[in-house]
Amino acid sequence: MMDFSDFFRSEADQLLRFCWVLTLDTDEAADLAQEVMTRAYERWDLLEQQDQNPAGWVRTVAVNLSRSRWRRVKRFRMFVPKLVAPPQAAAVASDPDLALALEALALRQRQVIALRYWADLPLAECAMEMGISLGSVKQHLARAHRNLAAAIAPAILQDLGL
Amino acid sequence: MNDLGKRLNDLASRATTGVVLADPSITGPATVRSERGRSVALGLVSALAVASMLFLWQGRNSGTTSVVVGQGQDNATGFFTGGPCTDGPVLELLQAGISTYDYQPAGSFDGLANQSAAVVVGQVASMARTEVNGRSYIEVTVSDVFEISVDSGAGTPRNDIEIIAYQAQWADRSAPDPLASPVAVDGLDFFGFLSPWSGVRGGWAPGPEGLYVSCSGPALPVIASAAGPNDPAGPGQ
Repeated sequence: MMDFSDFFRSEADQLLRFCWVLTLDTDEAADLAQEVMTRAYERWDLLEQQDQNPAGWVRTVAVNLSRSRWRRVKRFRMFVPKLVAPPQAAAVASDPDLALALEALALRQRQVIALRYWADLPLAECAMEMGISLGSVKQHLARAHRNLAAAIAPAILQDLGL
Repeated sequence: MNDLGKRLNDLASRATTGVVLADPSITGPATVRSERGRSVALGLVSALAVASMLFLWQGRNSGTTSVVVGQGQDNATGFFTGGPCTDGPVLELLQAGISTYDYQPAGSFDGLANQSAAVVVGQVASMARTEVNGRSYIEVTVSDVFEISVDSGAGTPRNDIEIIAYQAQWADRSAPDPLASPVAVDGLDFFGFLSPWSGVRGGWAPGPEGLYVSCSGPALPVIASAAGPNDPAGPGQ
């Protein structure tokens, strides 16, 4: 198994992008990815011993941490509307329709989209990494498809089987 | 990766251009965490004007002074006794026994922040009344506490803030104190302007307008606290 530095070099940017799809916020994504990598480093011996898939492990930790962060920010926004800067996805000019559509997704829907389409995982692995049943993954994905449909070109909709 | 995956990756790549993670095997995990804490920008300073509007809206019925932030309840019935959060009864419980006094309102969230050592959000786990050195307090046990720094806009976990306490004595001898035993609550969020206070367990107290609570949902926060370290009515620093 590779040492941690090799793993970091090969996966850090990927993880950062994955975290951005989860959070739609560059600072939050950097914060989240850094925390996940730090946790991976602290547990690297264990990850090596158990011959785990470290790339999958960091994605799972990112998904779990993003949930607690989401709750925290949501709580703060409830008390003081607009005090927390909104997600920056809409400012990404390269694909504003998709960025806005992603913002409108619930967190679980965004997580499943990130795992299924960004990480290109089969549904069963999405379920494993999210810690939920296959049926729940399908439900979240179906809802995400419906919510994204307006932002996705017809050719891609067909590709997705929508 | 299919087309949607490519579009997601393109978005993410553009959004994270120039962002470089630190390798914790080189810098050490503690250094990485410290640097990261400073990097999280929440835009608090610029948004305080918005917050101040909310604050002023809430205080629109208050006078310039003599804002009464709570009255002890006269009977024990109707108090929250634990479980899923309900706004009114929980608020009554948090105000059970707090005193009425005059103080100069801060006027804005910005002003409150300036008077406070920590502006935090988190979740209330339970409430109970305790006595320390002959004085009676409500101790609010909290979890998942997250500090919003006015100076840097950074957001950082505050695991050291576990109990928030403020003075509140149950004086009604005809009714049992509803906080005589800890009362656990599910789903109660708080927003606090806190300062250190060595006189209470946990070491943190809200200012006179410094504790807002709300059950998860769209309800506006409400003032729930009384005498604390910054109050003229407080029992001392």
